[in-house]
Amino acid sequence: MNKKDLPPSIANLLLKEGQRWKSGGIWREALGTGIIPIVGSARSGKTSKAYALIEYVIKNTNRPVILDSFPDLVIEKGIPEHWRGRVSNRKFSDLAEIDKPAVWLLDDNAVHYNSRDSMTSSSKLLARAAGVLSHFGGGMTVIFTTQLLSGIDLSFLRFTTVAPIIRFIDKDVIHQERKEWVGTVKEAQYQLKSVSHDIRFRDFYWVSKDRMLAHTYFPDFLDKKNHPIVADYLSRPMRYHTKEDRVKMINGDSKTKKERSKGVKNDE
Amino acid sequence: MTNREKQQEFDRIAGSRIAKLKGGIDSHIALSNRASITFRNKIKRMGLKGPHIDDAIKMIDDIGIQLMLENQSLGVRFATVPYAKNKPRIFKPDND
Repeated sequence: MNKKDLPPSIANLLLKEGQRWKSGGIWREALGTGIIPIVGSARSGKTSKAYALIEYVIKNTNRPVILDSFPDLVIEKGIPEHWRGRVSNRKFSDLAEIDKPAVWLLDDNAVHYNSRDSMTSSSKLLARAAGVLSHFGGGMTVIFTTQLLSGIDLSFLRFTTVAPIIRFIDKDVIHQERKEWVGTVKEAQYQLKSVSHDIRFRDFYWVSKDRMLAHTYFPDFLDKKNHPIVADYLSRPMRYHTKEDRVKMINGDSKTKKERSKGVKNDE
Repeated sequence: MTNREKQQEFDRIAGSRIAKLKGGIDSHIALSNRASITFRNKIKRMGLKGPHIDDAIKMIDDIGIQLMLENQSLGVRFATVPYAKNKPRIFKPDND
């Protein structure tokens, strides 16, 4: 996967700041910071697309990659060999501690940064982080996957450069999308339908900033026929969290039900 | 949703339903006027056939559609003009 193999708006955020590449016959200089939301329904290939972007970062830059809140097991056993030493798992709340131009992957974001949790600690973190992404570590990039942008706290997208990727979205769900965004999503579905041979449009994706379609690149290590274990770890990483961690994620706090009930007893 | 958007949505739903009634209705009934129907009936009763009759029927249809379009907005009139469909724009990496 070469520098020129991604649409310009995506390469612009994934390459390191100042890195040069040629696209559409023009030499460009990468911005190297911003947010790439990947939007699509379940099983539309959002996470696979995110890994393809990380593969691009690994092969074409020296930027570190951080997989937000990924299970240790996945980092130890699930990542391909050539990613080792480049990929780590930290919490997005550790953002200020990272002093390198990292590329973050926040997978299945609606669980963490839900718009209904407005002004919870994680939403506050996002609101602050969006404004300083370009300053920390020499400019960071965040890739996040979500089923609809209506589930995401908008403050995350207000203050920085955004290059959205849109995949298949269930037509009965589109009506729930944000009104500022629903026209773009509908256009994407129309464009994908006009070229795709897959019922869930997984062979193409729509880049709304460049207003163009692009062929999906599916990394070899995600193919279950080639690497069944790696493919499963990466395609369903959340499955490999401990039960305790899963409960914490769903409850949106740091205490399990058992711990909370203990807390009540102690308070009494 | 504004009233105009609501009306457009209702128009689309109504259009979609009527087009599906037993395969839809003929365009000269849907888009032209009653002269087109009576003219066809007269030609049929007289037993006339041939390319010149087809041309006459087409002319009546065209006049009917023109009368209908006269009352429509410029946007609707433009939308009826046939045009080549744009090819989807698909990203291709530079070769060099």
